[in-house]
Amino acid sequence: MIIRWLVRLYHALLYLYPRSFRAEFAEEMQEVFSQAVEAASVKSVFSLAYLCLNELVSLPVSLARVRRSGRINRPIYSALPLQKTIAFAQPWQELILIFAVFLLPAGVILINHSPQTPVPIDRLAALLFLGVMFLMGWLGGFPLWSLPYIGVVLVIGAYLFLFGWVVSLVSPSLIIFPLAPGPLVPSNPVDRSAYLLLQVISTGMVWLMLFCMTLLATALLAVFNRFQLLLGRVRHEWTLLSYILYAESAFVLLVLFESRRFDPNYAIAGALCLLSGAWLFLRSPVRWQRLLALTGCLTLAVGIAVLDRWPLDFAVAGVSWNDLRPTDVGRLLLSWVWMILALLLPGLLVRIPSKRGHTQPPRTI
Amino acid sequence: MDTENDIYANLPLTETTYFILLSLSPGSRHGYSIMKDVRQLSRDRVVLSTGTLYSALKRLLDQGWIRRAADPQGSDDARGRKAYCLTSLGQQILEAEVQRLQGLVNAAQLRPMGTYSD
Repeated sequence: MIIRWLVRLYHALLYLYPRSFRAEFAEEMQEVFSQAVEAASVKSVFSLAYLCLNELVSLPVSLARVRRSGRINRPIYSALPLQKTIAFAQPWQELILIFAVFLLPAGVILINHSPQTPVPIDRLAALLFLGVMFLMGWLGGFPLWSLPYIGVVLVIGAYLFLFGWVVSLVSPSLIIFPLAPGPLVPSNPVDRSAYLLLQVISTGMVWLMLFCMTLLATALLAVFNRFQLLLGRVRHEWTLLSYILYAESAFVLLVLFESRRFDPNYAIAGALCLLSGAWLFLRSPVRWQRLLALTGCLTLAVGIAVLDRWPLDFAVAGVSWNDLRPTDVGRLLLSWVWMILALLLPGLLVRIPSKRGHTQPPRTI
Repeated sequence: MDTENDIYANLPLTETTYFILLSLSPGSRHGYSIMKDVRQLSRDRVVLSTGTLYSALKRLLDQGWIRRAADPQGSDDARGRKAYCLTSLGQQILEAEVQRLQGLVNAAQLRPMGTYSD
């Protein structure tokens, strides 16, 4: 009679645990408890009392552990390995959501450049679509498919609100030597070298700003409980930051340079390269393969963009290699160097020493 | 090298974790059997409650140190009894911890106990 009563009471106490934990372990726990109660009742009343007291005393601690584990740890470690969670094991709708961000700009360019297009797609509509996708990601606590949309929103925000301010703050070159459309550089060799150096630094600062913004945005989002999953994933797998930066690079490459585009086919080819990079990233099981996918495909896309602009820069404008006037090709190549560095920068984060060793799972339970 | 670092980064283990892993080292066991074995291994010093045991098992499952297995007594049935066993990672971590503890004992044995200089 007492045993049955105790088991029922224990069954009621199990409702204090989170639902997911109950679904996984409640039946087992009840079974183990009833076995333990049966064994203790055979021994003595004191054994039974000790068992019940032990259960009662340890309940708050185990409840706290399970809740903490459910909130922070479980999503982090169950998120990996990467290719098992977000590759083609996911529904096809999610794949479309992941790749839409890379295909959309190319699609808009293709439709708008086609002579058969009755009404060109407004860029604002495309941006609105990206905004809606970002909001969907936000509401879902930023699952993996939505990471590129974070990058896109960051780069749009930076372009609209921060770009001019940061560039003028960090780069005197843009004040001394305005970028476009190319007043001739100083004829003095020393000034020309300084000019070139400042061009390199100013481009670098833009990409460094995007990197810092990405880092800051991820950290700020993680302040909210619902985005702990995002922070956990990024802390455990830093290439996800590279993936966000890759989306930023892709967006810059496809959209911001679009107005000076010579042939839309190059844009499509570039978008396909960038899409391949995202696809290979999601499919690669090893970290270096994921980085290679991102950097390799970005390099290919930049190469295609350079081929696109080559006739404009060198044949039409008549610029030669000896002329240091800032051309689209030069800016693209400079951007490429900094883009690659920005993609690799998150790797340095894991080298930062941490008390708990943030790349490792917690060692105590 | 990374795996080795992963293993040593998780040391030292808590007593509960250590005894649970040790209990699973000969083969798979179900929950109640782990409870009894831990108590026996620790000479009644560590008495696990079901809450402590299952929160620990959940964490170990999440970390990939243990996995579910067929019940050794073949009773993985309607009573909801499930067995657990060590994964290769769990086995490596346990071995590393035993090695660490052995090192501590060896170091202590190099010094005669109970002799004071002052």
